[in-house]
Amino acid sequence: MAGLAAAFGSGAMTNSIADIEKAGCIFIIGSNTTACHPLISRRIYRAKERGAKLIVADPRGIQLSRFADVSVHHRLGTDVALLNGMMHIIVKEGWHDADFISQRTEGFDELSQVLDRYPPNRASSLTGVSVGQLKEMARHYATYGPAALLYAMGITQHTTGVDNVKSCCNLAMLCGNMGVAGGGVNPLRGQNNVQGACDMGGLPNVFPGYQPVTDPEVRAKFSAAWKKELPAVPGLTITDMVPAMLEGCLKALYVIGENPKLSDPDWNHLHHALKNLDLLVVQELFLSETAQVADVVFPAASVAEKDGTFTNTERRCLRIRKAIEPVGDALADWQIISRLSSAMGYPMEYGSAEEIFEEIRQMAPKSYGGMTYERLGIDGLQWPCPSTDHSGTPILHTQTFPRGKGKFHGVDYQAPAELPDEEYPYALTTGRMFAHYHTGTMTRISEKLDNEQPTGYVSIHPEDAARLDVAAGDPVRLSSRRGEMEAPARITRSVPIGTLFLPIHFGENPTNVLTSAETFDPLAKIPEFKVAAVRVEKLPVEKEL
Amino acid sequence: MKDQVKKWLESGTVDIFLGMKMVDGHPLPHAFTLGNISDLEELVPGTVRYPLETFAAELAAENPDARIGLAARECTQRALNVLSLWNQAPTDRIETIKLNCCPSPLKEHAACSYLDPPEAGLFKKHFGIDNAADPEAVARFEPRERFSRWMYEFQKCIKCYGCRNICPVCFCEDCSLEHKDLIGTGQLPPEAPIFHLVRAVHMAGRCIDCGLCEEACPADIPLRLLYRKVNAVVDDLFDYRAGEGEQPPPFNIIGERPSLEPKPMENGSACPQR
Amino acid sequence: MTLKRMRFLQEVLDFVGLGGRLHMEWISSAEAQKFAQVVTDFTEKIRRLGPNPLHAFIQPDMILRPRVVAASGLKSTAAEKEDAKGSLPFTGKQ
Repeated sequence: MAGLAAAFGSGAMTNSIADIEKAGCIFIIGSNTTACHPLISRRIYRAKERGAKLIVADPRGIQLSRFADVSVHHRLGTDVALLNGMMHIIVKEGWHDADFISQRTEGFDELSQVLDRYPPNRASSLTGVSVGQLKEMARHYATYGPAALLYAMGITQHTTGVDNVKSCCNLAMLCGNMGVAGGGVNPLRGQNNVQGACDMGGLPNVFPGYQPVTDPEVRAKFSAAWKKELPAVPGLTITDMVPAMLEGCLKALYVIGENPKLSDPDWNHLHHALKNLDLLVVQELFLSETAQVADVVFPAASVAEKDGTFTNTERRCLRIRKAIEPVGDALADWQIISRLSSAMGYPMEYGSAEEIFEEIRQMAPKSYGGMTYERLGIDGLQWPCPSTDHSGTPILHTQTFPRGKGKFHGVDYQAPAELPDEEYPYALTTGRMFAHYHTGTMTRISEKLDNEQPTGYVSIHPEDAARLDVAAGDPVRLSSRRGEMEAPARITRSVPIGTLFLPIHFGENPTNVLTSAETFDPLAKIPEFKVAAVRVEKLPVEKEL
Repeated sequence: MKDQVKKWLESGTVDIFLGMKMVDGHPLPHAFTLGNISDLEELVPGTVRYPLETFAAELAAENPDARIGLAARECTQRALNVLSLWNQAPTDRIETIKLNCCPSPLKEHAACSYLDPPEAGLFKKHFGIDNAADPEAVARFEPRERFSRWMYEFQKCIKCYGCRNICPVCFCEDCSLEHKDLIGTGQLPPEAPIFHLVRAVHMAGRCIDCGLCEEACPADIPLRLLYRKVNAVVDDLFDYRAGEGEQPPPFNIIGERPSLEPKPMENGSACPQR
Repeated sequence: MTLKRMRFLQEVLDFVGLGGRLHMEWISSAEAQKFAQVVTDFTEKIRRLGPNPLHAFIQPDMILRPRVVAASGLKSTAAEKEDAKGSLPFTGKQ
């Protein structure tokens, strides 16, 4: 978000999902697309079969690596070095789009000064990707346009998350891949409505429609509409909330549809912080790990039990329609919030979800102004959609960027905050597997999905496994500076030697006991889930007779 | 068709009629009843297909007295024949209105979403298998090349189970594809080629060639082609064509209640009567 | 019936390019010589067919199951190495 906003002036997937099929080249970095966004991989397959080139950069071997024209496994957290190395080659070979750079962008000199420091040899030694592969990546991306760049959490969940995103934007602008069908910078969002939640101001510094709370005019508009003077100071990010809880200046926490006990870094630290709260309220479908320790749990209605809209990764606002009445005492989220607010002395009296949507249209007119329930139909509309005769915007930035010119940022490589050392010799990365969704509150209660993957596991390279005398299925103990956890070993060459992979879905093997809450991106405050240093020990095997 | 459905519902010939209803420009499956008879205005034949026979079988099981009508294509009719053969659908309670459908010498082109598949891309033609190819063309590749082409296709699988879930003749309660000892779990792609071969073998003498599996497949794996070959072998060896007659199929891999248990060997009915 | 089932399986395997690797023969407990001959012939046939082409598709992201780990001693098998040279049009290997 922050990186995209800095480069372009707005933060969202620039192109559409269907648009990926039109790409001449698809560059996937930090996204295990077939497992995490399976229906986007459909578009990738189709583009590939039509003749598009595929570049996959991932520290692990993933399903799409099999189909890649160039598949590289760079070291954890060396994304900036990899991208700078590619750009160095592109500029040197003259493959960049000079017209696009001069007409649509600024700051190219700043970038090229930085790129000078990333000749292929250096980029190769930093990333572990050979010079030959670097050249092939650069050639494919730059010469088989339009090239679409796809990324997900593998790019953002680092201390250098914003830098990584800026580098992706640099690369796309360098080759003139912005504002064209089949191109773009496309962050794949982790949930159906994470884009919508951001659009609605689910960030500490903005009102709906990304209107900054620090802007007096914006604040006046919202204060007038909501008949309440609104604070001028941005709120706290989750990363800031934990220390605030520990210090005692944050006394109550209201969690809606999240399971921070499993999803947030440094489990022990967070556990301690939650205990320090005077009041913890959780609004959930199921009794998640977090809901179990809450003082009050509000039962929320599921997708089938409520009306409303979701805005998905491609900025498409889609209607959902109530199919059944909520089970038990459950209510739609908006009803719970309205009731709570009314009870606390600020009456919210909405008659329906549509009434709220009408307010969204008024308050965020640039992106949602032209959408009505009737117009959304089944297919929805992609923002910006400012007026009722506007057909939505499948591709952003075709003529100009919201900030005017696109901005190149000279970004230097910084090593991850915690690298393996003698005490903690293994690099740990975390992620998802295809059968479960985030913290598993919805998927792990499904018998079929549980059958697919019933427990957590840790992926270990066979050579490491041999060294540790660990066989497939043996329990091992992982420990980091924060804590320790156990999981059965899964032996696979998908991880490089010296690197381990843990899926995040499993509460009984809580991955985030190991990750750090103190290492996060200074701007976006996103924690470094993707790199930590750990130690591995074999546990005695209980032999089944 | 609207008039006939109206007559059926009013006269009690059927209690529920399954067809497509136009919603915001999309034909979607809908259950028309006397209670919502005005919805009939929106009833459309449409080219889009859903396995209405599956819904009919489920509705019939849930409502033991209900009579069900449905708009049936030729593939729907074949599927109903198979379901009836396996005691999965009470065809005496199911009435059909036939839709103009599969191409024949009389009508070369008919209303079916499957008839205009996109042309296979160059890469797919070169390394994979063109979904529009016929089994003979595939058999002409050298064995090793044939294998690598199939493996290319199978390795795209994202284990969504779309092929099985949409299949009108897949009804087992315990599915071999989810059997841990037969097919490894927890990885993508699912074990290739075994995952797809197990399904192919189970389609033998059952697949009615509707092509819904291939239409549902997000990875464009040429499943219909594979099952057509499997059925051709069955036809060749057993002179049996799924969905056509009332003969029991040659591979009776399931018992009275669908499960994974094989039928006892002495039960000769597993053989076709020839 | 069994014979036909086997024929069916042979043809399906052949269609995906794994033909010739499935064989069935009725041998009574008294026919030791026949047994030896069938096994010898089939072994020779498999030898001529060469390593199972499936080995070429062993991918880094596959999970090594306990039995595979034990059999290969965690190292690439000879067949895997040979096929890794890439004589097939598509193995997905770089």
